[in-house]
Amino acid sequence: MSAALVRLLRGARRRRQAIVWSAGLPLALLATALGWRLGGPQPAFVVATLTLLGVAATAVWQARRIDRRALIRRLDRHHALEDSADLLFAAPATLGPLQQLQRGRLEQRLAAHAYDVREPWPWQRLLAIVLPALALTAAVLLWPSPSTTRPVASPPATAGSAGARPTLRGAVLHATPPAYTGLAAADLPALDAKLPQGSTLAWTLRFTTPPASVTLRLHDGGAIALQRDGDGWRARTTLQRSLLYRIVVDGAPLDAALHRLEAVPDRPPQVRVLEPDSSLVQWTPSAQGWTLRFEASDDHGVAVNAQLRLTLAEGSGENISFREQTLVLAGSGPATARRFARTLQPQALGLQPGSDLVAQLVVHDNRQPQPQEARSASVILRWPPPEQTRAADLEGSIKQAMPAYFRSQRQIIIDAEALLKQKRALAGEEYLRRSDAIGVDQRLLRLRYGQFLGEEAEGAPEPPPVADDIPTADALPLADDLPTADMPTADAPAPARGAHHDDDSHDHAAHAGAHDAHDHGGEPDTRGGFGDAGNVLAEFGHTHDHAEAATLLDPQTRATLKAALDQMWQSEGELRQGHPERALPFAYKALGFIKQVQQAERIYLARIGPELPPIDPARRMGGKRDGLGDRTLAPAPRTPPDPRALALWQALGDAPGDADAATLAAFSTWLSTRDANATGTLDLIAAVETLRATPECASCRQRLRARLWPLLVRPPASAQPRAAPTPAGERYLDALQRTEAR
Amino acid sequence: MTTALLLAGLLALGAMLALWRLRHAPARGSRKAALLLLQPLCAGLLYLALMPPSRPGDAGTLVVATAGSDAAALAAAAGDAVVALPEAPPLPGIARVPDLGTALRRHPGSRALRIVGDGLPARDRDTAAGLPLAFAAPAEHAGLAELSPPPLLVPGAAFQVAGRVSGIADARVELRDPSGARVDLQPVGRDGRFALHGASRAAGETLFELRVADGAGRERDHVDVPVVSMAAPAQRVLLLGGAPQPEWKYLRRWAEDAGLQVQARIAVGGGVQLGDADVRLDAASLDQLDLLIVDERALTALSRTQRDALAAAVERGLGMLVRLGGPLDGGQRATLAALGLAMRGDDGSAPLRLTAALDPAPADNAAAGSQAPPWPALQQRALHPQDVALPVLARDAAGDAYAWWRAQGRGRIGLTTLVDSYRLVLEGHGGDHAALWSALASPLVRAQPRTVTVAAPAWRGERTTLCAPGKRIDLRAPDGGSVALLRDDAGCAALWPRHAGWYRWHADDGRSGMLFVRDPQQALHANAMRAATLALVRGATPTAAASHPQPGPRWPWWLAFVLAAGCSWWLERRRPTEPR
Repeated sequence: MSAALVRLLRGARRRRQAIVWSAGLPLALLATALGWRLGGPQPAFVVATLTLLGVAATAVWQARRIDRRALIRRLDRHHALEDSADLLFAAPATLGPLQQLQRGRLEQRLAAHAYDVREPWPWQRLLAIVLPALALTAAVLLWPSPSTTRPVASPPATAGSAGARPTLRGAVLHATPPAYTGLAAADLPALDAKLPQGSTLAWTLRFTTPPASVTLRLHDGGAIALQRDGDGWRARTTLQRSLLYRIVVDGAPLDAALHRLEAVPDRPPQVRVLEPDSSLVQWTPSAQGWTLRFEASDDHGVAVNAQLRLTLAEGSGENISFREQTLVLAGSGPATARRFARTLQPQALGLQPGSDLVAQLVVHDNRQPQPQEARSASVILRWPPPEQTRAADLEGSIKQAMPAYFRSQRQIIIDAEALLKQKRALAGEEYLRRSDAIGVDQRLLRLRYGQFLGEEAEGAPEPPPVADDIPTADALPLADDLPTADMPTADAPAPARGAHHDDDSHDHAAHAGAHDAHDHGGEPDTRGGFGDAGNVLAEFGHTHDHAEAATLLDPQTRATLKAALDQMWQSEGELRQGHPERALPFAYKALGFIKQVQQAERIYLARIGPELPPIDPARRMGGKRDGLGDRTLAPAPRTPPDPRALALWQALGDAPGDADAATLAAFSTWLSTRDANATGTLDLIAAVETLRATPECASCRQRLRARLWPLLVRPPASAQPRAAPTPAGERYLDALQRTEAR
Repeated sequence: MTTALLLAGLLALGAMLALWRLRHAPARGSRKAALLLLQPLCAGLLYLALMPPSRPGDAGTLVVATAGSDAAALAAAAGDAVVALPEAPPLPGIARVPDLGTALRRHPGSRALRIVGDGLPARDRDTAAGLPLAFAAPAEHAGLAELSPPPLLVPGAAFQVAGRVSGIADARVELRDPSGARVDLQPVGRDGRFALHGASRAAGETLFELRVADGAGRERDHVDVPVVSMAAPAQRVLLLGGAPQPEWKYLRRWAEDAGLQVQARIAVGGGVQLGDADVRLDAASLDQLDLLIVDERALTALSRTQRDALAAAVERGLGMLVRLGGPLDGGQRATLAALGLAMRGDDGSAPLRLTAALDPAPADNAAAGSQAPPWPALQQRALHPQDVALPVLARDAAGDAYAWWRAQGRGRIGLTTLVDSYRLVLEGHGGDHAALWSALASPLVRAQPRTVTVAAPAWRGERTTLCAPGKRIDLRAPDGGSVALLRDDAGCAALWPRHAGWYRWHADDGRSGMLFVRDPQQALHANAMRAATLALVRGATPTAAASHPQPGPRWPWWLAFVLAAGCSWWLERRRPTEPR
C-alpha cells in the first residue's frame, strides 16, 4: 500500500474516533454525575474511569472496522478513480497490462488530488445524543437534594453565621508549669493534659468562620471567656484543681469532646535517715563523733538548705530539761534527691552521762509561694548513765500481797493528838491501851514502808554497801534538791524493748549497761545474806514482774525512806510506852520524810490481788426494788447514706426511660459537692457528661454504672426467705411429715 | 395399623370383585386360571408396595462429629456411617446434617452413636438419650470447667462463687466487682476447685468478673458472674433474750438497720424486762412472726404453754433460731433435746475462725488494697448435735459446722453456737456481721412467695427453658426487643436466646424474673458440653436393640405389581383368534 493510501486510511479512522468520542463523552459525564449524586465522590470517580475506558474501547473498535474494503468503497465513490480503486491494492504481478495501465493512472490522480475518504460528521445523530445527555447531566447536578433541606443538628438561630457553623481550624494549649518545677513551658499536643498544680494555661483557638463569642464551659458550671485577638481567640487561667471543659462557640458546644485537665498536686518531700541505721544509738565517750546522713527526695526539688534540729534532754525521772538548737545543713546531689550529712561532737553540744541528744532534719521543697515542710524520723543518741545502785526490789511483788489496812502517818499523828486531848478524861489503863494501839498502827506502817527497803528495817540482811553515802536524817537535803531517779520505762523508745526480747540472754550486766526499757529492779544489787531463800529467784533468775508492781528506788530515796523509818521506829517506841506527846515530834519528822519521798519520786506500790469476795446469791437482788421496772429500748438511730448514687445506679440498670434525666441531674448536684481532686470524681463527671450528650448510648450507661459501684454503700443485709412451696408441694410436705411421725 | 387393615380390606374386596367379574371370562383352561390367579396376586403386591414389610433396622454405629472434632479423631472412631453436626469444623467428604434427629432419620436403624469432639449441644441431647452412646471425651479445655453463680441475694448479703479450673498449672482466680476493683483472690486447690467471696451492694442486677490467671500471672480465662439482689419482703422478727448481752444489742441493731420489724424482750433478772412490753407468745401473735431468735436461757424460762404454742407455731411455718450464749445446764439441754436439738460436747469455749487463718498470697492481698482490718477470732460453744445428719446452717473457714437446723412441720428450727459475733461490728466489720446473720436467718425465716425469679445462666443460641408463671408475660431481650414465648400449662417455655446479656420478664401479676445469657465462645461452654455429654453417656440405659424397625424398600414390590398387572392386562385383552 502506498503512503498516500495509508494516510487516507488513517484520516478516515481518526474521523471515526472523533465521532465516537464526541458522542461518548457527554454520556460518560452523565453517568459520572449520576454516580456523584447517588454515591459520592468515590463512586463517581470509579464510574468516570469505567465509562471513559468504555468510550475509548468503542472508539478503537469502531476505527478498526474501517479496513481495506471500506477504504476501496469510499475511494470508488469518487468518479475520478473510475471504480478501479481495488487495483491499487492488488499485487502488481497478478495484473494484466491494461490493469497496470489503469493503476498507474489512479496513482497519478491520487498523488495529484486529495480525495476525502473521511465520513462526514453525523451532526443530527450527535446532537440527538449530546444535547439530552448534557441536559440530563445538568438536571442531575442541580436537582435539589433532600439532605440540604433537612435541618442539621445545629442550633436554630446562631447569630451572625447562619448556615456556616464555625469549626475549629487550629487549637493550641500552651502550658507554663510553675517556675519552681523546672519544667519547660510547652505547647501541649492535645487539649487534654495532666499538669502540675499551679500551671498557667493559655488557649489559642482559631476558627474557620469568626464566631461571636467563645467560652470554655467547666464541669462545675464555671466558664472561662476567650478574648478575640486577631484571628484567634485567647484565654489564660491557672490550673488549681482538676477540671473538665467543653469549648462553647456562640452558646452551643463546638463538638461532643469533653476535655480534661488534671492538676497534679506537688507532693511533700520525703526524708530518709541513711545513718545511723537505728533510731537509738548508745554513745561511748571514746567515739570520734556522731555522723548523721539523710536523704531528701521530692518530685520537683528540695531546698538546698535544711535545718538539723538538735534537742538535748538532760535529767531523769520527771525532772528533765530540754535544750534545743538548730544547725543549717547544705545539701549535695541533684535537686530531686539531696543528701545532707553532718558529723556532730555530742560532748561539745553538752551531752552528759544520762542525757539524750535527739536529732531531726527538717527539709523544705521549692514550692511557691509556700514551700512544703517535711521532717525526718528522730534519731536519739543516748549516753547511758553511770552504773547506779538501785534500790532493792519489792519482795511483796513476788509474794502474794495481802490486803493490809493500816493507817497513814498523818492519821497516826491525828490519832495521837486526839488521844492527848482526851488524856484527862481517860483512865491510865485505857490511855496506855489506846496509845499502845496507835503504836501498833505505827509499827504496821513502819513495816509497810520497810517493805520498800527489802525488810531491812526489821532485821533483814543489810544491803551491800553502795557507792553513795546514805545520808542521815539530819543531813538530808530538801526534797526539791533530791536528784530524781531515772525511770527508763517512761520514755524509752519501743525498739529497745523489742531488742531486749530478741536477745534475752539474761546478761544483766549488759542490760544494765544498755539501760534498756525493762525493769529488773536492780537485781545485781539485791543480793541477800546467807540463807535468804526468797531472794534466790531474784539473784539467779530473771523476774519479769508486773510493771506496776515493780519498784526501784534510787539511793537518795532509800536514804530518805530509811530516815523516815528511823523516825517511825522512835515514834512507835514512845507510843508503845504510852507517851504519845513524846512520839509526836518523831511522827511529824517521819511524815515530813515521807512527803519528801512522795515529792521526789513516784513510788509504785504493789497492786493488791484481784480476788473479790464471793457473791452471796442469797443477798442478790434481795434489796429494795423501788424504781425498778420494765423499760423500753430506744431504737438505734441510723443515718441512711445519700440515696442519689443508688438511685442513678438502679435507673441505669433498667431500660432508658424518662426519669433518667431527673436522676442524673440529682446525682450531678451531689457530685458537684465532692472534691474534684478525689479519686474517680473527674471520671464520674466525664461519664455523666457523656451520657447527657448521648442518652441513647448503651455502653455509656454501663460505663457510668460501673463507675458508680464504688460509691454505693453496702447496706446491712436482711434475711432472704425461702420460696414458699406451691399448694401441691405443701400437701406433699405435710403428708411426708405425717408418714415420718407415724 | 388401622390404615393397614383398611387398606388390606379394600384390596381384598377389589380382588373378590375382580374374581367375580372374571368368573365368566371368555377364556380357556390355563389362561383363565392364570387370569383368576393374577387378581389376588396383584392385590397382594399392591398392598406390599404401599406397606412394605419392615426390616430389622441394623445400620450399625453412627459416628457423629461435633464441635472440635478433627479428621484424625474421626478416622480413629470405628463406625458404619459418619455425619457432621453444624458445629463441627469443615470436614471434607463427610455429610452435614442440621441436627442429630435428621442424622438418625437419614441413617435408619442406627443402633449406637459414637460422639467425636467436644460433645453434643443441648439441642441434640434429648435425641441421643436412650441410644447406646460412646464418647471418647477429649481433655478439658484450659480454663473454667465449672461455675456456680450466686443465687438471688438481698442487698448487702455476702455470696460465694464456686467453681473449678482445669488445665492450668498454679492457677489463681480473682473476683472483680463491676467497677473493676479486685474483691477476692484465691489460688485454686489441687483438684482445681475454688470458692471466691464477694458482697452485693444494692438491689439490682450486675456483673462481677471472674478472671483466671496462670502461675506466671497471665490472664487465661474470664467470665461474667451475674449477681442479682432484690430487697426482701417485709419480715417480723422477735428477739427473746434471757440476759442482756452485747450480742443482743448488735443483733437488734442489725435487724433494725436491715429493715426488719423488730420486737425485743430481754430479761435482766428479777422479773424485770427490757424492750417491748407487748410481746405475747400465743398462737395468734406467733403466727404474725417470721423469725424468733431466742437464747437458751429465755427458752428455758418459757412456760409450758408458751413452749407448746411455740412448737405449734413452728409446725405452721415459723422460723426459730436458738443461739447459745453460755454453758448449758441440764434443764437447758433437756429443753434443746425436746426441740430435737440434743447436743453433745464438753460445752467449753472454742475459737471460731470465719475467714481463712492464713492469707494465701500476702503480697497479692496487699496489692489488692485490702485495707479492711482482719477479722477477729470469735468464740463458739464446743457443742455438736447428737444427730449427725442434721443439715448445716453455717460453717467456719475450715469447713466445720457451727450452726445447724432441722425442719419441723412447715417451719424450721436452727441453732448456732456462735457466741460473740458483735465483735465483728466493734472491729469494723458491720457489713459482715449483717451478712453473717442474714445467712443464719435466711434458711429459717417463714417461707414467702417469691416475686422475682432468677433463671440459671444460659448460652446464646442454645435452647433453654424459662418458667415464667403468669397470664401474660413480657420478655425483653438485651437489645430492647420483645420475645414471644409459647408456654405450656405450667408457664414454661423453650427459648433460644439470640443476644448475650440480661433477658428480663415481667408478668401481669407483678412477678418478674431475669435470665443471664452468656456468649458461648468460652472454655466454660465447651467444658459444660463435654460434661453434659459424659453425663448422658453415664446415664444412658441401652434399650433393646433395633428399637425402631425401619420400612424396607418399596421398589421390588412396585415392579412385581406392575409386571403382574401387565400380565393380567395382556391375558385379559388377548382375544381368542378363532371365532366363537
